[in-house]
Amino acid sequence: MAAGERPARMPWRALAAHATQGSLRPILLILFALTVATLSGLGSAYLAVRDVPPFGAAVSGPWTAWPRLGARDIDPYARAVLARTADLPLGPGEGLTFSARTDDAGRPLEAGCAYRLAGPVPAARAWTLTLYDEAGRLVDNPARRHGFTSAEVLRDGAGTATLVLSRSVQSGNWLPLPQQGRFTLVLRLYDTPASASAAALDARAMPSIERTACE
Amino acid sequence: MKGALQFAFAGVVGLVLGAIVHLAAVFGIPELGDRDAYSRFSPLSRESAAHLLTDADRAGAAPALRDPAVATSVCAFDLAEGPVHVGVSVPGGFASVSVHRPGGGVIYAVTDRAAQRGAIDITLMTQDQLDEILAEDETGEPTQDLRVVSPVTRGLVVVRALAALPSLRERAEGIASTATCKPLRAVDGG
Repeated sequence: MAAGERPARMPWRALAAHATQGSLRPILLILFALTVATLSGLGSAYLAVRDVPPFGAAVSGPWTAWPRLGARDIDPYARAVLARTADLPLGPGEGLTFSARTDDAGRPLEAGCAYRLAGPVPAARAWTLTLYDEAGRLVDNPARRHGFTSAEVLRDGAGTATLVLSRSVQSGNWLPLPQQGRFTLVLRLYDTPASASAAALDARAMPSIERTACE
Repeated sequence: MKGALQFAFAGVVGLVLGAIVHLAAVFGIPELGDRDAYSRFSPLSRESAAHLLTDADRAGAAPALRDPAVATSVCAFDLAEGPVHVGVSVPGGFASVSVHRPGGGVIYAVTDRAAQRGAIDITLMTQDQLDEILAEDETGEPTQDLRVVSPVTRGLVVVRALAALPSLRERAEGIASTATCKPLRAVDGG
């Protein structure tokens, strides 16, 4: 049966059977292939660049950096991530940005818990540690404290700084947590030799994030 | 049965085409998108002076831009009319200048360690413009400026200044907001 002979009002089932068996089939096959191409191509591209670059992560304990974001040999995926997020990353020699969404044990950072952040920070001229809420915003608090810089943090006799993260007020280097939800810590090293060899950083070179209590 | 095989084959063809679509999308996003930093911040840039990013400008921007201890300013440049001079006075503390291409990607970055006489001076130019300058330079005197060859004619200069203590906030904002990006001829003329 040729396409022109079919009745004006053909039921859907009959049309489908006609299409898969009759002369419409090549067109349907082409449409099917194009649909698969569009969905798989755009879908996989979106998944690859929606959040963080798929390649080039330097992981050190709970901390992750993407040194290639600021490198001159940036890969196309990282570049697409930059284009989507309006990011202006720190360049080579300028510094390096680490972020942490979990504690040392891999559990998500929760506002309902308390954390102790201690240990070494890679050599840098200056560093800043900043806390963001789930949506990536600074957290308003009465202490107006969003983080610490290497110059303002209090250190013990050995020169080591320990930070306490909790909702309740603490003495010393206290970083207030949001009322609820998860949070992210970002450690930025400015003017650091670590830029060049970030992939070689091991967990002992970065501060530990230890969960001390949960409500 | 034959029909099912044909559709399976069409599916495989679709996946192969999908790989091409995937690559085209990944490479196309920086070129065609309008959400990149250059598209977002270049309209803020004023004539020959850097624009200090406010909290409102930075809201919703990517994490690298939102260090509350760092004052950040941006200025867009266009080398079509000639080289552009970037000047930042750095009295002390961490400060840096980076050059970004439209769509994302760092062309060049330098910190205040490279400053001479308390200022970072960079001249951005295309390779053709550098060749021209070198050909016209008969004195052979060493230049004071850092000459940076940009592979693109347009882009964004980002100036960062760290306020290591809250009391240094105003000074850091001063460093970032007084940065200049002027066509080189204007600098020469006075």
